[in-house]
Amino acid sequence: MSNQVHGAEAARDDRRERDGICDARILIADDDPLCRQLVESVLRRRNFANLEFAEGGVSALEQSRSFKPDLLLLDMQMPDMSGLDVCRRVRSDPDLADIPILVQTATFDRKKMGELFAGGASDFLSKPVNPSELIARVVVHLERWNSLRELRNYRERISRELEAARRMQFELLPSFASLSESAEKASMRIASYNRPSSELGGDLWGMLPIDEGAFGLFLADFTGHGVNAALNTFRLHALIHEYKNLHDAPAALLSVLNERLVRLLPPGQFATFLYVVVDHRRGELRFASAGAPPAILVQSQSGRPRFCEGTGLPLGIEPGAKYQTYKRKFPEGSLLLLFSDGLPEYPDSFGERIGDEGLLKVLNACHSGLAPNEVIDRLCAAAGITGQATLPDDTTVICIDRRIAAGCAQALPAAEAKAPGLRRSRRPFPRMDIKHGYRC
Amino acid sequence: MQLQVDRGAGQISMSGEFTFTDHGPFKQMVAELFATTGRSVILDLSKLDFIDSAGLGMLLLARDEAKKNDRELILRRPSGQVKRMFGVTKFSTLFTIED
Repeated sequence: MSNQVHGAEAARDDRRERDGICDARILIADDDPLCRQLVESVLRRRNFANLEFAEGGVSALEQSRSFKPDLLLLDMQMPDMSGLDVCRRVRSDPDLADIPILVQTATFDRKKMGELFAGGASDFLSKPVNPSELIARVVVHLERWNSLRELRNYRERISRELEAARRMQFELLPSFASLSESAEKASMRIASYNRPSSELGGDLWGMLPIDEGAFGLFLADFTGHGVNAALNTFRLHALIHEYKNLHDAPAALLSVLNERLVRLLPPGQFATFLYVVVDHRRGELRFASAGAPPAILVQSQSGRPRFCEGTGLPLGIEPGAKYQTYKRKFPEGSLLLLFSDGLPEYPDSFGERIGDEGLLKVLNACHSGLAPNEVIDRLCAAAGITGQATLPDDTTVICIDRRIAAGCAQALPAAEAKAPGLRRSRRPFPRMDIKHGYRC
Repeated sequence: MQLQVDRGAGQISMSGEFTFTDHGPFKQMVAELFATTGRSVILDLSKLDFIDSAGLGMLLLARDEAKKNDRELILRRPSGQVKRMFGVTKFSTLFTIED
């Protein structure tokens, strides 16, 4: 029997060692030196070595701030400041608000006990001290405090890592510099909007330089969001850049991306993908779609917006899926809008969705003088997306505008005049604002 | 999304909106699907108003399960946004769709 008890105690001691509880800082506040010595000897016998002592309420409070104990053993009756007052004050200090406070009291007055707990005591110990009770309660509260701290640290670490991942994902998107370079070469304006639903998203878009007369533009949307979808955007980004020779061949590019993603994605997961070659030299768009929402095209200053209808299996579902390259005219004065389903499917405050048709109507009402970022603003506003709204799905919108080309001679000096201002507002690490439209 | 199961006819009627929040009911649906007897299982979509990409993904999972169990999955009478979604994504080439 005694062996068993001894064995159990040894096991408990082991666990304490392992969890590092014996390193815990314990502050013992009691005005009676004999009581302090008693508590000390009990704790030291159980290998608690990091102890400090306070001889009254005031010094208990001061030492709590300087020593930052992991646990406070507090006598209820002290001449200079009562244990209850110390308790309340300790709790009002943000650094100490959560530490375990064990109050030692000889009272069993229910009302006083109630006040004690209301004042912030974690638990109480009856006086005179019973060594087993003291150890048991100290251990329970230190373990609880340790788990709480570990959880907190873990949560902080995860959110730091998510933040880092978010930045990395943001850096996958075209930089301001590359975007303005492409836009300038093609004498067009480009604006974009990208917001993930949670911290990490499953949307990805990018521009691929082809030659002086054309560039590629893609918009991908992986099922789901969060870490899983975000990691897939990194995979896809790498894959797209592996096939540079296919950047001018939309259907062929989609076919190879599909073959690769079929092998990478588990059943039920896929990516919709829209790839458009913007050939401004020929005034033409060549595109292929893998189940993506159709782009919207306005072909002249006074033209009506129309869908660029294109169909295809989303990427990653079926091996051997075939895609088709479609062509549309894209003369000067045109406007092209790409968007992920987060925009038309956003449920506004009434639970209504604007839908693809609704976007078409908004675009129809936009006059040709609007800059592409203003067009995006109007679309988001019409869909009910406000700056504060939490998005249920990742949302990306890209607007390419060839309307300035008509007045190119006037537009260029103005753009030059704006250039220094633009440069000043550029940040080496662009902040992912709730809304950031690249304006070129 | 709401589900109505007609075991005798091997048919499940879906109504409302089929989105990422329906994962639970969907799993239940798959279980119901294989509790029925017969070669084919019919999903009646005529009352389904909306499907998002997560919903499409769940249909793909049901299709996988059907294949593994050597059953045929038929999607019946999709309309509106659901029908358009099937068109854009060419889901018609993956599923037997009956009008």
